[in-house]
Amino acid sequence: MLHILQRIVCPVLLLIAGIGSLVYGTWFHRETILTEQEIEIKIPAPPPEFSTFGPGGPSGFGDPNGPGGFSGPGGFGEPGGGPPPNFGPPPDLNRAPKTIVEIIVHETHELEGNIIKEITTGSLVRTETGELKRTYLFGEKPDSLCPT
Amino acid sequence: MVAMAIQKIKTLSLTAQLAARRILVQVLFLAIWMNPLLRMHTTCSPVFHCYACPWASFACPIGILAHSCALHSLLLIPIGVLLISGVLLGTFICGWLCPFGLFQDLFGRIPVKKWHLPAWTGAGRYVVLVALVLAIPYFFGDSNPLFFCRVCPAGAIEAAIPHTVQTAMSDGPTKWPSAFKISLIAILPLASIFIYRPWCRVFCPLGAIYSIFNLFSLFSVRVKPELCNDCQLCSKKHCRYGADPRKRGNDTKCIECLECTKCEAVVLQWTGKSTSLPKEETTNVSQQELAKKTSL
Repeated sequence: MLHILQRIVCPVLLLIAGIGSLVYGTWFHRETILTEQEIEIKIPAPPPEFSTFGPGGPSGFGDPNGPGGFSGPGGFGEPGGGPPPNFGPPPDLNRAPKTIVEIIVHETHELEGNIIKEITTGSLVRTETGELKRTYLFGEKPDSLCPT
Repeated sequence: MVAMAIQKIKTLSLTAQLAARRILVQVLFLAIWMNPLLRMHTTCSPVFHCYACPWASFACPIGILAHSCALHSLLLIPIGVLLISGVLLGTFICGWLCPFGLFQDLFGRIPVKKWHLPAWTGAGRYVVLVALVLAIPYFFGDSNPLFFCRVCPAGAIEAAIPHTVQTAMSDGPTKWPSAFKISLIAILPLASIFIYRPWCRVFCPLGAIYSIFNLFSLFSVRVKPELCNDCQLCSKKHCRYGADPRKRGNDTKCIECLECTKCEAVVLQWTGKSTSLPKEETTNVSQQELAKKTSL
């Protein structure tokens, strides 16, 4: 009885298990794989706020249509005559267009065959949360060599 | 001399004749495992061959197992391939199909005195399988220096050498393999000259898996007790790998090279039909037969 169990039943059961594993793994078993994609977002530069004469227009001259032409006895620098001319430092040169890189994560459900192919090129890693992630970005090609 | 060898082969049984041409079969199978036109890295082969080899047709089952442990992902394709090939062929794969075994056999043909390894060295294969292929990848990931693929000689010889040559011939910088792999490239061929199949007998994790299947394989080597006279030629002269067909048909050390079938008492047969008796009974039967023959 033991002879029949060892010689016939065990091999047949193992063979059935092997065929089942191969069929299920090839056609049905899928795993979730994450792929990152980098998207560049360009932020245009804001319009310049620099004005030599300030928001009130030329100052120190008052209202040309006013009674005195010149604004009061103080002339230039008169407190009521608007802000003084701005001959300070040049406008902010850091107001250049900016580029922000945003990372989008794609989730795909791949068959085992594709996973095995990715493994042969060292293109899969396990994240800290236990998920599988590709080492290359979306749209790129994987390395052709296994890094080991 | 060639004619004498051919004549000698013709007097042997069919399996023994096939065994004499084993190296030809191994070379023919290279056309399957190393075929640039056959690129199927979505599945595993049943042999020990690095998938980073530029001409590798299939993925290596041990590499995929190790990586699947590192990724904590149970992949069923390599398990299915190993179960099917193990049950149907067992270590026949080691003896007849494996390209890395062929590599060692070629160096083993150099005619120098061979060293014999003690039987306990075979346990190293199971240590490598459990530690370097399963446990270390699972607990420490593929970046650990003892991750199997980082110490694999098949990767060193079949992948690192061609890629080093390729990068050397290109315009970019030459990429050299690690110091450990360079030492493997030097040590393993040298060891193969003095020991028959040193990697297979001491370290190979795939051989460890198939040797377990030898206990369940559908085909196995058996001794016919009515023909055995206990001369021990099968174990001491024909077998180079330390197996004894008389003790158990498919010993875990046996790679089913069928060299022992040069003796007519040893046959390859379907395992459901058992002809092997325990050693004591085998000896008793053979002595009875001898007694009958001498009395006649």
